[in-house]
Amino acid sequence: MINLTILLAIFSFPLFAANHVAFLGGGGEPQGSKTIFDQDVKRFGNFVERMPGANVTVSFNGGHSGTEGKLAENFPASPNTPFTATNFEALVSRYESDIQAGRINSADQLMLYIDTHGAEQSPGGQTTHNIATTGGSIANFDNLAGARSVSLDRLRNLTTLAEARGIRLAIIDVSCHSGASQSLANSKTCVISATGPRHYGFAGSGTFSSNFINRMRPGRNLNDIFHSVRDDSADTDFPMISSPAGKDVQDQIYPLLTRFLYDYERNSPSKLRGDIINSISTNSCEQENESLATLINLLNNVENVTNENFRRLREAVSEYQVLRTTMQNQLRGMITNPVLTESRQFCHGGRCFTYSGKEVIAMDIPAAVAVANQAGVNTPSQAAFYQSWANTLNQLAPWKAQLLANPAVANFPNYFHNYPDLERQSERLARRISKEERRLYREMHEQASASDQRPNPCKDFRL
Amino acid sequence: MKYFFFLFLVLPAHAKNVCFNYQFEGAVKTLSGKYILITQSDTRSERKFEFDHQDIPKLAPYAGKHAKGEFILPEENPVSGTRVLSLTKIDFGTPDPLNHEKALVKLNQIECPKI
Repeated sequence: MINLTILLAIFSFPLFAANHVAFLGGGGEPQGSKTIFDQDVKRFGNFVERMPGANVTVSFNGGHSGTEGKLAENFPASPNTPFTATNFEALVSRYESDIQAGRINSADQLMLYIDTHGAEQSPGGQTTHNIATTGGSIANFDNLAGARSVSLDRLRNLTTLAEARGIRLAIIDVSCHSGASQSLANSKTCVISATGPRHYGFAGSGTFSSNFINRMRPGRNLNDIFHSVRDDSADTDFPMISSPAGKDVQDQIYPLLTRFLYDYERNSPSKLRGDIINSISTNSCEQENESLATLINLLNNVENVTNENFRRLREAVSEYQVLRTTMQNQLRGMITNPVLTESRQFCHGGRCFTYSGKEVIAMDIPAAVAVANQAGVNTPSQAAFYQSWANTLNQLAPWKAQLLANPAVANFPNYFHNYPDLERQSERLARRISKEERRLYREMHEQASASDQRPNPCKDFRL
Repeated sequence: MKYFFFLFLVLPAHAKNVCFNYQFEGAVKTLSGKYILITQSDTRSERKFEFDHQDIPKLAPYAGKHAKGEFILPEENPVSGTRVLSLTKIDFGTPDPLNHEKALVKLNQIECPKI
């Protein structure tokens, strides 16, 4: 009877289950021979070596001779095609038709590993985000301006087909803002993202993406690999997994921690500054205090009262909130103070010049007078123009002295030096918070997954 | 009536000088006693813009600082050394090294102003 059961079990599955692996990305890089993805090419090549018999497709980069050399060296059995929109479309269509025709079936599994630059989710209905293809160089890391890109929304149909045919599918997106890909998850599709939808991801050794590839070994499942590497890096990113317990934890803490993971050095200043300006213009400072209180309550609930596990995280977020308030107050004062925005007109010799308070307080008047006096003039009217201007510049001095005596605005000339200094302080705090967030995530995940019986496609995907 | 049709047919064909409105961000510096604007300084895309004497007083408060605003250029693809026809807006800004695309954004095509 036992033998019969074993035989039935064996013959109910196709004899040759196949691993299909696609390595995609390497786009958006500036001209040159190398790219920031070169080390990952080598790492992923080593992974493929550990997976003999896997059907490997490589569509990566294009246009960088050094990177292409590494691709040829590390994937000798899988010739590379440049990662263009056309090749991406062809690859997705091929997998779709392979599934529909049964060439990839329920005994098989398919992994798409996406290693490139990624944009924030576009407004207007996009459910994932755009990733950079080859051709073009990124000028803006938030929206990939300057680069060519494709939308990962194109993978939606593939995930639906895989689910309907019972095929295990893994989408590992290690690009910036890759948390936006989590929406592709379903009962058969595991999605792993190197960072949250509003944060950058990082490349290079010691980062989440490099550690993840290094731990990809035959026999291990994606769920275990993810949790074994999540704690190993402390960049200001937020790795995500679509397992039910992972999603529960992420839904609780990512919205509360989002603003505390913005820093100046590793993220673009625009992300932090944009968030501060947005909080001023939407008058959301009160909401920020409520959200901080929610986070502190959550930490109190999660930690063991006696050991105060999250004392350092509590301190760091509180300190960061004080810094944010300072930044908000300084920017609000600079943006809206009527003393600085008031304009006055100064005239001489029939010509008038208009200056605002902030222009006068910031101006080096003697240096401007020197420019006026030394200006090369071609015509008598130009000479008269500069003479009038030099005269009006001398009229500005009393107003400037008055502004400098006003403590509310006297700091404005230093604003250009001080404000970036404030922003730089966020780097130290954000990195501290990121390090502590790893511990919080682990503890909450252990609690959430302890008795979790829900299906987990990330656990089912075994290399 | 005959003359009306003549005007109607001929006037639209009259060539006009074409200029472009640009949004800019960059550093205002004093060079050889003149103010210039440098966008994307210290990169391969660095460009320097010179200004008409009418605009020099507007630039004075921004010398040594980062500025943002709008100006009118005679060229669709300006090169370094292009002369700005008219500085229409200027304000203080803060440098954002990763967002180079904001350095120079073409807004719209306009008829060149008379200066």
